[in-house]
Amino acid sequence: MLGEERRAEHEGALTEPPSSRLVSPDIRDEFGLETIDMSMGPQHPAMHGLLRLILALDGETVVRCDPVMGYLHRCHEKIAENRMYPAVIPLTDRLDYFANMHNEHGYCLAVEDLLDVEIPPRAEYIRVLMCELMRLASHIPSIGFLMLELGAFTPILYAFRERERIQSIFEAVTGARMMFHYIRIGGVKADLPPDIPQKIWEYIESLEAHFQRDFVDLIQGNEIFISRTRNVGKMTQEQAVEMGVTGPALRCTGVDFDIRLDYPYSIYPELQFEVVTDTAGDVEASYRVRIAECLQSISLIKQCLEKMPEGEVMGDTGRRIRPDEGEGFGRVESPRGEYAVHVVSDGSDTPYRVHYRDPSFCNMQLLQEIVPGHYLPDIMPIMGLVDPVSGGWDK
Amino acid sequence: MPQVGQGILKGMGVTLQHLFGQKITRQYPEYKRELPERSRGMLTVDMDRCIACLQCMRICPDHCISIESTKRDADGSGKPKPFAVGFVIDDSRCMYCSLCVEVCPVNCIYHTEEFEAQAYNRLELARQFGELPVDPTVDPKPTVKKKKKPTGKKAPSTVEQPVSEKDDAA
Amino acid sequence: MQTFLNLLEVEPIRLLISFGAVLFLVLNLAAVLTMAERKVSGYIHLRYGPNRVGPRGLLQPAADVFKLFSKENVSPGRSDLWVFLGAPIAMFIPAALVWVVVPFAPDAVVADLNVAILFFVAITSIGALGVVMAGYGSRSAFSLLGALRGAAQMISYEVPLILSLLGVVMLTGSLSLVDVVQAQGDTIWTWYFLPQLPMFITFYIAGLAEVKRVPFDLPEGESEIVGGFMVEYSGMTWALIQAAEFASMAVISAVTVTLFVGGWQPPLPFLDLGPFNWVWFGIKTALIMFTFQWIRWSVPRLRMDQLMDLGWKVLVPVTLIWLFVTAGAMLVF
Repeated sequence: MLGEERRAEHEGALTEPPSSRLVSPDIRDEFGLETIDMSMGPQHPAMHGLLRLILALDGETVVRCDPVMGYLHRCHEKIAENRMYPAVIPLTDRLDYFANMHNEHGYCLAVEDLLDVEIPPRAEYIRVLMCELMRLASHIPSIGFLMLELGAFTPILYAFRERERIQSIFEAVTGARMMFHYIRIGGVKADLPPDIPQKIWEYIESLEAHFQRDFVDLIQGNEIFISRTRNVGKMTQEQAVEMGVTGPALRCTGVDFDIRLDYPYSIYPELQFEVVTDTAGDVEASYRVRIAECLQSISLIKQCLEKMPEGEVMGDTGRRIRPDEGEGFGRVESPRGEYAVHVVSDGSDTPYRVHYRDPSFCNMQLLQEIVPGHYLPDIMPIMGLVDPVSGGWDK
Repeated sequence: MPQVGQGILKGMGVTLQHLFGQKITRQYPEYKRELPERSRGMLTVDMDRCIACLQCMRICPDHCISIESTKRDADGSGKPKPFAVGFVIDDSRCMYCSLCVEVCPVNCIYHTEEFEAQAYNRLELARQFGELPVDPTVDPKPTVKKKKKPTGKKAPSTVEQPVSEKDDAA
Repeated sequence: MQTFLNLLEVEPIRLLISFGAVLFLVLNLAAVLTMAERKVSGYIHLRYGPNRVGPRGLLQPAADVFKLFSKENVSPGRSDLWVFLGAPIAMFIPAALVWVVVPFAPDAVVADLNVAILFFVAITSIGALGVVMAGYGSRSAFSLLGALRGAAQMISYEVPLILSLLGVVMLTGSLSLVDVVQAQGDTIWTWYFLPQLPMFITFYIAGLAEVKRVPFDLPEGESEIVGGFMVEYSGMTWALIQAAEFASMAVISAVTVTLFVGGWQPPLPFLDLGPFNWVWFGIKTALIMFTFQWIRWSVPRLRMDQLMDLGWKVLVPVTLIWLFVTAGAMLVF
């Protein structure tokens, strides 16, 4: 297909993916057809960030799709080696910037694994409450982005209205709208202000009242949406598991794997919820899974608010956080999948090594496997299925 | 093959409802939202309380605080104490993480509700609080201690061992 | 004053002045439509749209035009300059020319051709040429894709467009648009959109596709190919393409109103305004343009193969079947 010289030019391009959906090269050779090489480059208004896709197109069919990442690399893992343990938390905020609470939570779980700190129950409840609010604030714009890429410009603005309201709740609790720096090693930074639980209740009730109208009625029955997303990006369970995909992209194929239930952390064992799965592994299924997870989060938030105990919000970590030599591992269910942090300590004030297993990075493999065989306009809904965030895949 | 049917018409009904609904835009700058109590805006220092302990300078992850301290008898008690003659906060670097606020023992550095940091020149964003101006472009010395606790365990080696020359010759 | 009105009776001068007036109207309409689009989209999105320039933002088109005049017209280095610069002109001229046959009020039409519908169909087809010129002349992969999509889409949707007109032609018995308006009767329930409802809907959808608006805006698909055939245009050339697009949207609305919704006639006879019936024409055209915008912000876009399926497999059979139904009804009644 591509000449060897041209293939060498594409920096970072990998070899031919073993996908069975490629258009047969024999047909192309027989008719003397050529493919168009196109770069859906880093400057693109509709990518989820700075991603370069090297495409080989046969008319409108994608023959080859290679993602090239690294345009937003900020050396988070290296910087973390030079900062003290508590000072790494603002860094983790900036990884997957749509789900900041989960990033902080994962890192704090990893360090608490090293330290063996007792976390007070109220702090755990507040952590889960914040994480579930963050999940809402992340899933609703994900649906909006899916619709934006399909060409409907309205749902994303309704979605950002919800996110703004959740962000103003976060601002009242943590002090910042996006880079919270709230979940600390041993607990959370400060207790909820006294009027916040009431505000969260009111917000959740108003969201439930118009969630159906704004995000389900507008989208789910729309025939154009259905025809654009049904059977697009169809994955089998084996493919998804083999590629290490987690999160809603995995659950939409039918595998029920949710870190909150399979490797429980924090107080999730005390809360009642179910894993949402769907059997069709396509974009429409991922949309349904995300909608159901939003409703799950709403019910989890209500449970947290009802069951929250009184008490302190910060455990006793000592004056300096200087763990023994060893390794700590923490994993959380972020809105995009399994987010895990591996911290290696050498006994000093700063970590020896911090590694982030980001779900956006691992789920991007889908693009190379699944996209060939689809049409060019289908790439965007498939990105909506994967739902990566560029801070996540690039760190 | 899509058929134009109820799904699309239902969606159009939703947008029509919103067309005549209430708008959620707030016309900034005529309307300024009331910020919550804890909101983290730009930093400011109460120099009367500062004891020049340099804790904020040490903990700042972005090295945006630079302090020049001398010993001076500021309150007439007879004993010269550390006094900050130069204190600069560089807004172009500050990421509003509030670590300096938490670590200050006398609560003299705190967040205001200002968030509009604009200037024509990046150097204007460095705000000087002390008597002498401090150069914000010079990084303060990193003061992270690397004291190790004496245990028997070795840190896991993730550094690649250098290739020996024997392998090269083979 | 009297000499001026006498001068207007002289045929070539009347034609020139009225065409000049219509052209002035079309250019202003293109500017006003950009503003209307942004306000309508703003209101649907729970925000205000532009409201800073002038009272409630009404001078925004002036600011836009001023900005576009002052921008540099960038063209790609290797582009074919004649084709590249000729494309916006080739897109604007058909959109402006069709206004010549549209009747605004009784006896207020620039040229009362007796083959007006044929003229409309023929001139609208030329629009596809401009799209291909724009995409080919830009010499970039995105533009080429957009141009190919645009050409395929516009040419295939001309078939349902024309077929859906034929029912109206059969009922009227003439190809003149003035006759079509007169033949539609006085009241809202005698206008053609009721007996020809499938044709009305088909003409509307085919019109959407001809104008390349959502859900058929894949040639300029903003999400994948970022502007498609017009991605390399900037400044006044881009403004001319946008003006062409809005002018053709307006002309399709105007022709829809003329053919199906009664032209300049009021809904009920007692609301007749005589020579000021262009007010009714304006109100109806504005309503149809509002529905164009309402649909734009409500539905996602169709993929190319689904678009073609809709055109060939759904709309063409519907129009053909309804032609036979109309013919049968005409025989019976």
